[in-house]
Amino acid sequence: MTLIVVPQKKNNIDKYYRKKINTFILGLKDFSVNYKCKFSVKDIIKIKNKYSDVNIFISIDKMIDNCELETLKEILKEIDKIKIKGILFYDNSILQLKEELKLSTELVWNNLFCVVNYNACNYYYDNGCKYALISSEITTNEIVEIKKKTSMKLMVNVFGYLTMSYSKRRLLTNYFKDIKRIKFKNNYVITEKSSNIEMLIKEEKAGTIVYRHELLDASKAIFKLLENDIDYFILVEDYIPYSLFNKVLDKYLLIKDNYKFIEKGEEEKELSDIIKSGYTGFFQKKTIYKVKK
Amino acid sequence: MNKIELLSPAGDLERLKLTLLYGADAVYIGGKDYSLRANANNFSVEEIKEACSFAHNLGKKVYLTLNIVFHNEDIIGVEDYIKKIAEVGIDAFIVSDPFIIKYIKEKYPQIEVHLSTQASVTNKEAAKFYKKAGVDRIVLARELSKNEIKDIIDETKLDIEIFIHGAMCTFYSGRCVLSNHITNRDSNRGGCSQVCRFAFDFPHKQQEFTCATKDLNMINNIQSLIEIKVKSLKVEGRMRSVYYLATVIGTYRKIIDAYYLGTLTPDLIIKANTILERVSNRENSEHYYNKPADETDQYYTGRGELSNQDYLAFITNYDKKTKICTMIQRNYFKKNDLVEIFMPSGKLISLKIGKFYTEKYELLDVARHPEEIIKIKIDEEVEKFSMMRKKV
Repeated sequence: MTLIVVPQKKNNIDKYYRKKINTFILGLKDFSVNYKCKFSVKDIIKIKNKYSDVNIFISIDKMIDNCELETLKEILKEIDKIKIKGILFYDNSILQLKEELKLSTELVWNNLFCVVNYNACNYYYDNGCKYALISSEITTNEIVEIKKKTSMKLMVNVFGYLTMSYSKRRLLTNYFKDIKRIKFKNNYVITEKSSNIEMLIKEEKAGTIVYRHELLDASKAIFKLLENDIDYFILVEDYIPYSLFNKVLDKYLLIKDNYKFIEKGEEEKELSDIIKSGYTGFFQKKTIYKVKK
Repeated sequence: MNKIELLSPAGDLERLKLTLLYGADAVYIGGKDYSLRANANNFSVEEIKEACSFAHNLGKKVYLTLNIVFHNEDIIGVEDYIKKIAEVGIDAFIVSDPFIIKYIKEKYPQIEVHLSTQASVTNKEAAKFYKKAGVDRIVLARELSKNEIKDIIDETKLDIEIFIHGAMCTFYSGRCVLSNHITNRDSNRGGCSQVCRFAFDFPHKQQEFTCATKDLNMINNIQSLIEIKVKSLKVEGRMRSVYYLATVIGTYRKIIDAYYLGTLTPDLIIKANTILERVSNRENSEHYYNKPADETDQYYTGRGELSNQDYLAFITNYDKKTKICTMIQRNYFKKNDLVEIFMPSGKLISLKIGKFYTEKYELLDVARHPEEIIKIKIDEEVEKFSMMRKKV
């Protein structure tokens, strides 16, 4: 298993590289939405030049509009020359353009909430995607079943704030127009009243993104994922203090290298104690969809 | 001439039959499984067979939604299910998961596959991908402008379907799991609990944060949608009432037909707008078609969703000899009220309520009991399945 870090600042790559993290997912300027820090092609070239052994995945997770396609094509061609590890994509235009432009860069199917079954994974594998980022809304057992029934290399989010939704609408701008306030920040924490669940809402040019404002604690899932050869664990640093992220990362590094020999219960508890959120996501919790028979 | 298709939702057989009679060219329905309205009544295989038979006899079509995002456990049984539905004569499957597209096109090439809006296709390259994957039609994302839709049609030559009326998502379809997180109900498997319509606490005791959207209403843009060569106009609302569906479908039917007959006038559109606004319990807007969506397309704190009392009665029979119209009462009305009766053919009768009776011909001044049988003498012939409403 390989640990992947999504850094929230450009210069944090240095810090994590020194900790022997050599695989990163980076948001791409103008074409990523779920990332706090976005990198231009020039930035990526600099990183590639600085660290010869760093594996870079870039993420294009914006919904692409027709008017952006020409720019996107040029960027994809430039990226293809850099020889990065892969491109995470949400919109199938990327898959289409890979063929049209004869790109050699590997693709990672990252349809966020829809990467939830092995047949769809196999479909994308047959269409040239060697990797998939598994949805965070399915259980550990479902992830393991997908792993067993596909040849794809799988990535799983294990730490960070989970994305919940993305709108083209400028929801904060609209709200503040309604209450007639001109100045406002680009992100706030709001609370759903009945569940008391906090949500981080962020607005940018491409629209509005909502995150769950509770840190994901995957401690109860990671050993099973490791034992079943899940290929990549992703830790997202966005909006998390460096000291906390660093501690969690240290713990993951320890577990990754020693999971066959260490006492699971103890490590799970220690990791959980560091994260302190108590929020375990959907690893052990199945969603329902029929509320009446 | 190939007219643009008017596509209606239907939550059950009654709605399906009525919307077809009121002018829909095709109806989309959900089965008991694999549909994004998991908590609607939905259709059994036998009912789907009856629906297809009824529609085909009218020269119309039925499409089945199979548009959940499948989890591993949902895969088991889906092939048998598709086989059963294919055998009863369905005209198209509406899908979002790509492996289903491939499976249906390989096994049942005679049946069309329509890509659900759940896949949120927003550009022509993504549309090309799905064309290559075998889809016959794409229901585009609801976030597109007129020019974007036109570009996709011109470039791909695909059949394109556009939502024209009904509730809108705040977020991109398929790209929202608020429901999963807040209520544990899976939005992409038909369990959406519409968290985007909740109110949220905002920091520093500011006014509550809301992001609910107004409903979509594209009645002003029908001519434009026909002229850019959209193939199908889709109305949202498999869980809506018979009255709502008959009104909305009947109204759009009139506007579409008027366009092709060359009789479409601004007055006709104004009248249609008035009818649509009255039948809806929310305000409506055009959202993205002519401008980027903005604050005018949303609701904020203090909004109300009004219950509609316009629907007065459902006509079950008309005796041509006695001119007695039999109806089932739905909402309160009384003698001297101004009402209108709208019919499946589009015909409209305006009248003032005169003498009316119970089923046993006892004279009434007021109809105040929903489900009561009422009889009224009406000189003009009234079609079966017509509906009576307050005068608009």
